[in-house]
Amino acid sequence: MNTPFKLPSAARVRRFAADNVVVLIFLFVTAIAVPSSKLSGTYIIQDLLTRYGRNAFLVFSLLLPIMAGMGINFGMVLGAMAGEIGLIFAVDQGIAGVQGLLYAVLVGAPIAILLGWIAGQVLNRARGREMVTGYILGFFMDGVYQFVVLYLMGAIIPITSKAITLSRGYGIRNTLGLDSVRQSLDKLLMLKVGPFTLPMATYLVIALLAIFIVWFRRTKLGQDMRAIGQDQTVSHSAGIPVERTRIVAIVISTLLAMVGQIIFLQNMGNMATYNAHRQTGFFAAAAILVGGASVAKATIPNVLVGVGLLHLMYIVVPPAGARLFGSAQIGEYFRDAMSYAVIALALALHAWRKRANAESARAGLRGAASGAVDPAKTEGGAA
Amino acid sequence: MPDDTPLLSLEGITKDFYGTTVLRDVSFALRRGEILGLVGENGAGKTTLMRILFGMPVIAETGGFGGTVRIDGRPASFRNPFDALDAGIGMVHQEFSLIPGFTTTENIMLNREQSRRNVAVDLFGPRMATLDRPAMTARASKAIERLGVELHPDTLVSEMPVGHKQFTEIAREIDRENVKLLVLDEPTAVLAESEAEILLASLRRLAAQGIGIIFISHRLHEVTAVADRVVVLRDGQLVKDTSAKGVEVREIAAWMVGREVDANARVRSDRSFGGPALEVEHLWVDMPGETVRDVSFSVREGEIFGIGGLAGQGKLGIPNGIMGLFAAGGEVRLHGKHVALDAPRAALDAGMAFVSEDRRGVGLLLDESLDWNIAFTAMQVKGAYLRRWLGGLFSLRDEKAMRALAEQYIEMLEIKCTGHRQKAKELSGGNQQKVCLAKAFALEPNLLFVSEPTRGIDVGAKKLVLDKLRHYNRDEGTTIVMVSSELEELRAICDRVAIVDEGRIAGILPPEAPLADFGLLMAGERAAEASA
Amino acid sequence: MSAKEVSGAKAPLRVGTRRAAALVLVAAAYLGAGAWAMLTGKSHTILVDNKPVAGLEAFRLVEVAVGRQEPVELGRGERDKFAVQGQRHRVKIDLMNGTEPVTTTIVLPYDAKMVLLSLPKLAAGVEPAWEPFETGQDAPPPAADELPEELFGAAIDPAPPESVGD
Repeated sequence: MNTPFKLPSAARVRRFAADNVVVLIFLFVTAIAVPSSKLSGTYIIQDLLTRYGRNAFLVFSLLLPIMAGMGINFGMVLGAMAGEIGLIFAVDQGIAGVQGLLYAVLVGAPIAILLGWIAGQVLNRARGREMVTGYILGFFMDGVYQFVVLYLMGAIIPITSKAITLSRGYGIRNTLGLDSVRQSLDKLLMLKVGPFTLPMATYLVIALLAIFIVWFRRTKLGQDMRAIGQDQTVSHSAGIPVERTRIVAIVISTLLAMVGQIIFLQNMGNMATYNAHRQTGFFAAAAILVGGASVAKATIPNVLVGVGLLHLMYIVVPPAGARLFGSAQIGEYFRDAMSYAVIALALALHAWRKRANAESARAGLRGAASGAVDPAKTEGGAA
Repeated sequence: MPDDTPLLSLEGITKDFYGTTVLRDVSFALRRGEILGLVGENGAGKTTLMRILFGMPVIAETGGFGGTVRIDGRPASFRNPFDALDAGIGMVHQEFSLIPGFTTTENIMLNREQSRRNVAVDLFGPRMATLDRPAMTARASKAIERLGVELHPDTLVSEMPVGHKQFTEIAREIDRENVKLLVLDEPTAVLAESEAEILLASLRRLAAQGIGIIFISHRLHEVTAVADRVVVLRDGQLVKDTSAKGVEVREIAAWMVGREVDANARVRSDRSFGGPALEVEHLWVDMPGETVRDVSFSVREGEIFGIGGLAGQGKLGIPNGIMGLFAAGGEVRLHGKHVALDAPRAALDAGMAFVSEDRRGVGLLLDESLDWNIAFTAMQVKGAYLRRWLGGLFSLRDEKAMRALAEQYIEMLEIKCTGHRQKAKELSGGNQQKVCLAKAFALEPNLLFVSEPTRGIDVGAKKLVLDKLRHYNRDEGTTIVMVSSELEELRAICDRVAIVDEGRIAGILPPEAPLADFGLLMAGERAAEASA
Repeated sequence: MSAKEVSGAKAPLRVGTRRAAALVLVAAAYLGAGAWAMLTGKSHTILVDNKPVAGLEAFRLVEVAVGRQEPVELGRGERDKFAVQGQRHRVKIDLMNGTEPVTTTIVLPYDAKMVLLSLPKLAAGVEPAWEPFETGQDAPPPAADELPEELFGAAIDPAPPESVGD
């Protein structure tokens, strides 16, 4: 009865493919696009190195909520908004360089904590529907953000610089130039290796974050989050404060998204005041899913692989589209469609897997006479 | 035992829920190192007793309880289960409360992890302490060793056989430094025979270390094998508190189900049946809490077939699975014709009808009128009570026919109501049940499933419902399969009674068989032994 | 956060004070970092000006450097600017005539966005050598303010065709 069950190799391949279908599709598309883009290897690698620095931090902010069983925190756009408000103040105060970024982080932190706490409260009331709730909450908060930045700033919230205010005297302009802080973190410690330049300071910040997450998982709080992520009822009956822990996970995620957005924008060098955060959650979600994460499980390698793969596609697909179809725009539409498809596919797969697991758990309960599968094996699938 | 203060003593525990007494003056004591087998049928009061012991909030919310609980001779009243845990009482539940993706160690130490301080603790509080895994593994290993089982501290729970999960749960309870009393609620229900043996050996080992154990199980042979003393509850009263030495399973079963003298069962020799009406082979049903694992039986034409058993053993799953309300598999034939499972419509089309135990959820459209409730299923399934227009393009309800139908059944079943337009939710439980019956009768089924027909209705209505069923069977010749927790009523109206235990049919008895035989079947003894 | 101390024995009494101290520390760090970022990160523009002023002659040719930035050469009546961060700056003036370069430290007020630094004054040791410079225009206002595009409101209720700019 309890002998370990060995999958035949074909079945094993199929199982691997089913588990990694998102990654495989992505690899396939990119593998076709890379040669047809006719981009040089050096160009692609340099672009990737830059994009790692720009994006990885944002994607890391999704890890903790997934660990706490809350799925992909689409509410991270709240953190992005906090970061943008921090940057508006840094630019308005004329605080430049790395100090300007630090200032933005310090201003953004209390806002991010407050927004994260609100989001956590809301998500606690929407158990099991955290993702869609977080997503809609992002839309709602976008409206609040617009109200604050477009009407209150300069009217009630003091803004000194006319350069960033709309000519009517209040509200922030549609595009905010970030020249004073532009790439200040990237340029703090540039390392030239052969033909490549590496923004080491940015990498260092990302590495510190990764170390923090590794360390955090080993704390009591991290252990509690893992427990809650798997079974809230059991965790609750063991005396773990479930709601509080979930709020903490969202607050940390929002804080990290705030820092991540600041790092992202300092690399970009300017900020679309009202649009910069809109897609943040989506792209971070696409990246982590492409890296092989699911809405229930994500690791640091998932983040690193995912950022690389997603951006590789973003680099190569438009030129490939231009060569193959005579229009770069087709490539751009295609890559957007791919990112959304990845999210849709990952969500559908998750639901499908849950059902398949329930099914195999059920099979374990059937009588031996009905030719059911060995219960010892299917128990594992029930997890 | 040298210390003669009992570890736990319950004195005159009385509890009622909204006027219904569920526990009456229950008193017993438990010494250190003693294993006490607590047995009783569903509703005998075991669960309520344990809830009182653990200070479950539901007890206080429903008006508290009478009597005293003493731990080590001192009166104890816990406000919540955590207080009880602090006082050294551990509980192992019937369902696993384990984190599947955690290892044995992590589960045993859940929320009692050992940790090391660091700077972050000062900044953000004690939950920032890092886990001390070696120390955790050492402690978990110690608990496992105390239990005397082989359990690797680093195995994931999701990859464990069921028995190991149960051991992990127990290890978690005994890891507490001060644990002195352990309550196990049906710990062997999910275990294979061999695993149960190991568990019982572990319990003896723990008892030898001075831990008092309350062992709740419906498997009576396990109770006699492991317990030092047996306490039997029936209808909220303690009916027996005796040393387990020399007690036989049969005796306990008799105490459990009660009255040895039995006037209700009647021998009906004048009954004759046709060929097989319903044949069920290797049925499994995934109904949460009522899983059917492997059930085969056959019902003869014109018979009233009873299905009984304790709650949670799967008896309710059988009709729900055959009627397609829960995922099911196996072979079901009605008059020799295959019936597709997982499709309610197929079951209805085959001529089967179902009076659900879930009256308010499945059985009735609460906001609709009686005539609509009674005619609804017949209209859906048979297209009855519809008038066709334009060659069947439209069909409208035939209000007149529906009204006539409703009035017919209101009279026949003596439904107390203001008229056929009254809403179903305004009726009493017993009358709602009659509406459910009317609805099923209106389908003119050739096989009728009735599930818990007398649950939650008063005595007078009970008798009436049962009489109507019997008459309907006698007058229409309809085969009836009746599922009920009330053994008495099964024996009163059924021609044969099957007892379900752990998702399987333990045995089928004639209603006039001695009560103790039914008790034995419920206690997990097989048919051969019971009918001896 | 990486420093670890193994505490075998618990010290429940001291936890309260430790916690309080830690919170004070966090607050101090927050404020300290903020102050550091504001003071050292604040950007100012220094206009270096080689014009005669208040009876002082302008230099024929002067090379001026602020901090570690590249020096610029200014002829008589010329003016240039340096973008700097922070309030205290060393200004080096080299008259390019064989005399030793003069290095002076100037301290600007925190809220001065732009100052006009007169090199003749600085060389003559007049205090202060700078004065606030107000342009009156901060930056040219854009011809038309672009407002944020609508959200999905625009999708259900499109704007009239003539206002669709792009």
